[in-house]
Amino acid sequence: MLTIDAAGMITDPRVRNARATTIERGDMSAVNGIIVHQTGGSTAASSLNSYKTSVAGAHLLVDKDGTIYQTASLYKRTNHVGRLRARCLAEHRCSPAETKALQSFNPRAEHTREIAKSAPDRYPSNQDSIGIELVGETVANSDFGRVAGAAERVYVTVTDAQNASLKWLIDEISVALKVPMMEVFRHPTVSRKTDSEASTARW
Amino acid sequence: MVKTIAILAAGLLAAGCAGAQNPADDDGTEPTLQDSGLAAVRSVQITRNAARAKGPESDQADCSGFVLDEAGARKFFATTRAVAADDYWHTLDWSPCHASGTVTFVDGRTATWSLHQLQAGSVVFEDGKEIYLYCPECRFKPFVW
Repeated sequence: MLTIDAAGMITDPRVRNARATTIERGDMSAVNGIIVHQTGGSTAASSLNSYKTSVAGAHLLVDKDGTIYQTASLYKRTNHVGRLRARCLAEHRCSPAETKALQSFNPRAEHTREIAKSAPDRYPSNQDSIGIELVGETVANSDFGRVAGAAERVYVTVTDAQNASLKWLIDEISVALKVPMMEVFRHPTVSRKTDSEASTARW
Repeated sequence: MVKTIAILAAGLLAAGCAGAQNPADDDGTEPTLQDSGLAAVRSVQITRNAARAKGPESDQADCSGFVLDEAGARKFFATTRAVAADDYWHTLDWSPCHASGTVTFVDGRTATWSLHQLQAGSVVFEDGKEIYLYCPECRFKPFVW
């Protein structure tokens, strides 16, 4: 079983301490889910550097060779999710009032309605989830020919070493923090993100 | 004198609000906005409109309504702010519906660009430098806000 110290840091030889308190956004009283991400940058170093000044980031970072860095305390919130999508829509259980409200496409209003709910009626949010970043990179989408910018890119494939580390992390964290496996999601499931983000992640 | 003090106080208040947000109050769904650093637009070309990204969910999207004209693109570039890459990928919403093209600024620099329906996108200059953009003040169609 994973050992987590009083500061929320994992004490295990597989996990390197790279804590960046800059991305920690206050205490997290409950952990209701785990969100799997991929980074836009192609190296762990670029993420670790950006975390020194950024307020957005996740709790753990898995390099392409499977090396695991813990970048924030598991007891602190980080901004890694963004606005929530309506969970009831994906699970076909929206009330008539919600269904009507969702007919008007307004992501801000949708998030406001969602965040007022409690998990698991909504997806895990910045308030109550652990974020795991897989070092990725976005590259040209061959469907588009000349690539003009970020709107036209796709994420690279997750490596086998990353998937092995990811599986270990999720297994261990889900037991240690009592997070149901059903509450582990790819980022685009819970928020409006590029379809391909973490699409090849396995756990 | 009073005016000077009032201006200083207002400046300090604004700086405090921007730089010392209480982490406990931070919902984390709005990114930190920066000056885009973009010069005024000299010319802009739209090479793709109402385009749809490819993907299991994107394939279901109806992007026919996202048709950006030159005036809209110019207004976006004149108004937009910049965001950090982390914020672009983590914090901001993404839409599969986008338009793209090229732009020349009055400082002589040229870039390719793509903007999606949810008021964000990027410009990529010829040297490869990319600036991520987000324009919450772009509350005009075809953007959704």
